[in-house]
Amino acid sequence: MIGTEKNNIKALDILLVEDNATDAELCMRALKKHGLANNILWVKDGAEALDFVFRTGEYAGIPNGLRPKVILLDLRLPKVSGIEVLRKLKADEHARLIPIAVLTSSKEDNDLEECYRLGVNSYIAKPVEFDQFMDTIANLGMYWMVINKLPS
Amino acid sequence: MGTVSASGVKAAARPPARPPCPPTSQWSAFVSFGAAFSAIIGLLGLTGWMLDVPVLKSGLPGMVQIKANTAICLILLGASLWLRRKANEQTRGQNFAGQLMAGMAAAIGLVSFGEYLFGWDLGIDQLLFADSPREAIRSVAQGLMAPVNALNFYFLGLALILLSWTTLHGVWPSQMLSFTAGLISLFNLLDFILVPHDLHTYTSLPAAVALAVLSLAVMCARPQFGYGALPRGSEQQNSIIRRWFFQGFAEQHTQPLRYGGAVVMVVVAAMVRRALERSLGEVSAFLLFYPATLLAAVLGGLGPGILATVLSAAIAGYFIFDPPGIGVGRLSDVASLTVFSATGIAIAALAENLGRTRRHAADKVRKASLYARSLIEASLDPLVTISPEGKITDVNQATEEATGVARAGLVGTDFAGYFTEPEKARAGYRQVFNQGQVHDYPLAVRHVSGKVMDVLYHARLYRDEGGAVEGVFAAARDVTERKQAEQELSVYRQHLEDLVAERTAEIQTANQRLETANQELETFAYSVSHDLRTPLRAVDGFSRILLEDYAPKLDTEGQRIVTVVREGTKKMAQMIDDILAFSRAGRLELSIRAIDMEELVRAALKDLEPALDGANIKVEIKPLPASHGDASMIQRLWTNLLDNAIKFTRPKPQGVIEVGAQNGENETIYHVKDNGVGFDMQYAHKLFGVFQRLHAQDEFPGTGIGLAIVKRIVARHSGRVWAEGKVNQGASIYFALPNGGKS
Repeated sequence: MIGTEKNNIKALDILLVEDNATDAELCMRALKKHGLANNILWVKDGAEALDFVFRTGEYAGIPNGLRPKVILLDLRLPKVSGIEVLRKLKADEHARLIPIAVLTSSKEDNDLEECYRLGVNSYIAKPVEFDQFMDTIANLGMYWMVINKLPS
Repeated sequence: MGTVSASGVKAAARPPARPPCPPTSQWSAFVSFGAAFSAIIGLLGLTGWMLDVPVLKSGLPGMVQIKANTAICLILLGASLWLRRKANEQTRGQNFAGQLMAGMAAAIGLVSFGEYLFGWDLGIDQLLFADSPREAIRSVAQGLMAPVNALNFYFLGLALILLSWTTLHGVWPSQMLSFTAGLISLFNLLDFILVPHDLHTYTSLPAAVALAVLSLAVMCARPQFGYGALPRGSEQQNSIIRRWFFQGFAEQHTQPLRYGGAVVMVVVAAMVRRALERSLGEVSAFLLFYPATLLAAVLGGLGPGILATVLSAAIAGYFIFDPPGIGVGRLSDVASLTVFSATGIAIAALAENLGRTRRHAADKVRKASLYARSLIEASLDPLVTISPEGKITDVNQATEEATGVARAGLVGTDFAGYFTEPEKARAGYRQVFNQGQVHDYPLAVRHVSGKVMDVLYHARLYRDEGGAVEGVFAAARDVTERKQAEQELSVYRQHLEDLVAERTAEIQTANQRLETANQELETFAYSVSHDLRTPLRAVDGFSRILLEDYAPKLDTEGQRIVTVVREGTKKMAQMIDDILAFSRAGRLELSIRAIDMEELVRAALKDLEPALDGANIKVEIKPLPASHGDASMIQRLWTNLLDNAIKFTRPKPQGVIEVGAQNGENETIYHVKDNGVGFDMQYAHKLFGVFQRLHAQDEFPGTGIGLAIVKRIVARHSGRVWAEGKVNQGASIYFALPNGGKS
């Protein structure tokens, strides 16, 4: 298992919402190469993501102050879709402060537009080619973890 | 119109053939009476001679006695007429006997007249009975009959021989002979009335009366001939007098009445003149003959007028003037006779002229009426006239047929009763009175059999000459067949519409299904290609990781194999991208607006700059007409076409690509021509298929989706696309977009 253990979260930088294990692994490998993978929580569907952010379900006991610096959100997810997760988070007064970067294999203009309409902070198409994929993820991690400033 | 009399209708509708004419009963009764009367007078005379009873011979005591031969002739002629009194009912024997007897009488008459004229004595006068001079009062000779009677017997004998004979021109000699005999007999009778007996009477009273009656009877014996031909048919109900006065002028068959009337009038005038002899004297000999002649001329026409004139003149000259009988009288008498004759003939001519004019006018009216009636009857449309009270006043045959009721049953009844909707019929009738006319008023006539005929009515008021409304003239047009045809047509039309609606619904359903299937397919293609990316990335990524993390453990061959794996994933990724692009070209909604083609071509070329880099290719852009379409799609189209052209022109030392256009009738045809490697036209149909390639992968890179996308984009713009080319001589791709008829 990669990333932070669910019940023992001390610190959190990235919430990765990704149902595909290989993609998740490649993603974390890219981040790890640049020393950005220390505090990643990986959830496999939209419902779990919402549970975490709103402290419901199995994440009910997690302290309120614990917030990721960015949520990497895939759009095609089991149970609750990425778009739905995005809508719910951006509709919430507190949760909307968390930056959300959509990370998807979709190249559809529909999805892109819809995500921006809902208030996404970034939209990245996963490159198919390995090198590009690794670079893109690394850049993404660097930007949100290091360069970007968040409200306290 | 519409007021033609009932008899007129009958005549026009069914012109009756003149039936063979049986003598009417009163005429044949008179003929029989005349024959019998003559024979009986003759027999009485003979009996008088045999038994020597003078009164049987003279009728009145002391007067001229009938001669034995006269009596014989009367018997012969009476028997002859009796035998032949009926036109067609005697045997040949009867005819022969009749004619023989008539011939004998004629012979006796002729011989007697000859005796009188030439002074012969043939002995026939004393043959039966010797006539004593004492008793032969006023006889011409002893036993010799009066010359007047001799002539009469001759005429009547001939008349009876010729009784059934007419000339080709319809002249009936028998009638002329008997008419002459009748006139002579009239003078015989007048002799008794007008002149003192002892002056110049040679004939006996029984003979005179018998001859007068016999003459008339012979005249009437064949009423189907000549002037005796009588009016027949329905008009028989009219009185003879009325016919003579009001209708008879033009009718030939009234001639016996007209001539007879003239004779009667003159005779009456003569008798009145005789009665007034004392007060009038000789001065006004023609005083009463003038009105008689005038009346005869006015009522009877030319012939009767002249007859009356001549008869008047003869009577006046014979009986009134001095000396009585035949002879030249005083000059004043001759003058007044001449004046009277001229005046009478003039009056007759004038009356005839007047009568002709009246007959002509009446004839015209009758013909016009007949003509109008024929038109009405000829109409296939039921025609009817209706009184202001709504009662039928006249109909034509078509109306009888439409209702199944005869004319007599229709006239006088309420017209509305013959329609299925009487109230509606009455409403239409009122409308005629309010508006003067109606057109195409729909009603249905009910035949007595129950059959209903749909009609359209046209009706209008008709007025008399003064403009007063006399009623309504209405014509119906049978539209039953038209209505049926319309109904049938409407059934067919409805059926057709149902069919069309049914088919349309089917097509719509099929269309919808097709659309759904298409959408599903597109969605499927999209999601499949989308889902394929993820495992592809895994294959690529992990084979890369294998190379990175385990390179020391892999030998060269092992590393090469991993590289081949990674090449495959790259190619597959490209294909997935292409499928997605292709799918998108079919799925995305078009945003049609005016587009500048040249600008789009330049934009496409800008995208392709990397491809052009290092190649010796000259791109020539000719003027391109603007068009309408989805700008991003059309740009994609140009990109694909130019990309292809560049790809296949690259191997040439000097590549030339020409972009141009020309206007067609309803479309603008754009093209991209190159002088590249070209293609074999037999594979032209494969150019636009998905993943169809005409070259090996290592020769020219690409998945073969470019032209498939082009075709899709053109199709979505309602255009068409085709290609021309030759191996090693370049290729031309054309696409045509509709330009709305603008050139």
